[in-house]
Amino acid sequence: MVKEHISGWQFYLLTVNYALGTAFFIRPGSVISSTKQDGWIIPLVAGAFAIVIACLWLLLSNANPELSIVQIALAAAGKPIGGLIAIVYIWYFIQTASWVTRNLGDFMKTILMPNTPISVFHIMFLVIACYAVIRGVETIARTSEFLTPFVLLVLFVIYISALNEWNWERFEPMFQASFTKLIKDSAPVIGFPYLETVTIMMLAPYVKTRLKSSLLLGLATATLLLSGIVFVTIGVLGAARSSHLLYPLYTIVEELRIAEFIEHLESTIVIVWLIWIFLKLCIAYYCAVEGIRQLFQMKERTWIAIPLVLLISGIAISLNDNVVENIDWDRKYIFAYSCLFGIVLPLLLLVLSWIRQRGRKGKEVSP
Amino acid sequence: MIRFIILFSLAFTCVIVFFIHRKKPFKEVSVFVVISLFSLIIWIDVRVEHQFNPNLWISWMFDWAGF
Repeated sequence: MVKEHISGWQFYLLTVNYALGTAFFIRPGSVISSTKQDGWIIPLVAGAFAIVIACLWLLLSNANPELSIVQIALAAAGKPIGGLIAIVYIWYFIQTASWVTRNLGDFMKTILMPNTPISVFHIMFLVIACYAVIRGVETIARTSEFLTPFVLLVLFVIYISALNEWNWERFEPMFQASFTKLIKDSAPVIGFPYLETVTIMMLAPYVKTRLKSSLLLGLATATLLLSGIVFVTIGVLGAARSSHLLYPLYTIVEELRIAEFIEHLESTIVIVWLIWIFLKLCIAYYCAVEGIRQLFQMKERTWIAIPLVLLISGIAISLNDNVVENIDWDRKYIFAYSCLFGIVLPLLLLVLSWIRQRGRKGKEVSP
Repeated sequence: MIRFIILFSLAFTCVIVFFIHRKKPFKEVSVFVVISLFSLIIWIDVRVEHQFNPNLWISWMFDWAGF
C-alpha cells in the first residue's frame, strides 16, 4: 500500500470540519437552553479546555512519531493490553460514525422527508462515504479542501442576511451565569464535539508538516465559529425561542427573507449540513477502517470498509429510539464517556510510552 | 426478515467465492467474515425489535460506577 500524505492546511480543514460537522447544528439549541443568553460563552470555555487537552494528544504523538493511536496502543502497552485498548478505540470510531449517521437520519426524517424510512438515508450516505474511505485519506482531504469554501460562503451569506432580525436587547441581562454554572454547562460541549476530536489523531502520521499548529488552530477556529453561531442564534431568535428548537439555525434560514422576494432558503443550509456530515462521517469511518487494518496488519482497506456499511447503519438505528433520548443521553453521559477516550486513555498511553522509552534508554546505557 | 437473510447470504456467498478465486489471505477473509456476522446479528436484532442499544449499556456502566 502506497504511503499517503496530507498537508498541514488539509489537516487544519479536516480538524475544523470534524469538530464542527454535526455540532454546528445540534449544539446551539442545547447550549442556549442550559445557559440562556450567555450561551455563547460556553463554546469559548469548552474550546479553551479542548486546546489544553489537544496538547496532551500532541505530546503523545511526539513521544511516538509517525504512529496513530491504535499503533501507539500496540507499541506502548504490548499486544494483549494494547490490542484491547486498540479495539476499544476502534469501537469508539465505529460508534462516532454511527452517531453522525443517526444525526443525519434524524434531521432528514423529522424535518425534510418524514415518510422515508430512516435506514434509507443511512445506507445511501454510508455507501458514498465507504467509497471515499476506500479511495483513502488524500481523497477525503481534497474533498474537504474543495467543499469548505462553499460551506463557509453560504454560512457567511446567511449570517449577514440574518442581521436584519438582530436585536441587542436579546442578550440582556448579560453575564448572569456564575463561573460554576459556566463550567458545569461546558461539560457536555467539551465531550461533544471537542474530546471526540481525538479521532483525528488517527490521521497524525499522514501529516507532512505543521501538525501542532494545524490541530490547535483548527480547534480554535471551530471554537470561534461555534461561539459565533450561538451568538447569532441568540441575537436573531432570542434565548427563549431558540432553547425550544432542535435545529435553531434551520429555523433562522427558514424565516429568512432577502429583498422581499428571496425566501425559503432552507435547502442551502441542508446542503451545507449534508457536506459537513459527509466529511465528518468519512473521517470517523476512515479512522475505524484504518484502526482495524493497523490492528490486524492487513494490506487492503476495501474488504474492511464494505461490511462496515451494514454494521454502522445497524448501530445507528440501535443507538436510541428518538431525538429526545439522544439529547438526554448527551446531557448525562457524553462528558464522562468522551473523557475516557480523550483524556484517560491518551494519558495512560503517554505514561506507558515514557516508561518504555526510559527502559530502552537504560538498556542502551547498561552494556 | 427472511428476504433480508436470503439477500445477505447470497451477497456473503458471492464475496467468499470471490475471495477463494482471488486467493485472498486468510486474515483478510476472517476479518471480513467477523465484521459481516456482527452486522448480521445487529440487523437481525433491529428487525426483531430486541434492540441491542450500546448507549443503554454505557449508561448502565457509568451509573454502576457512580459517575
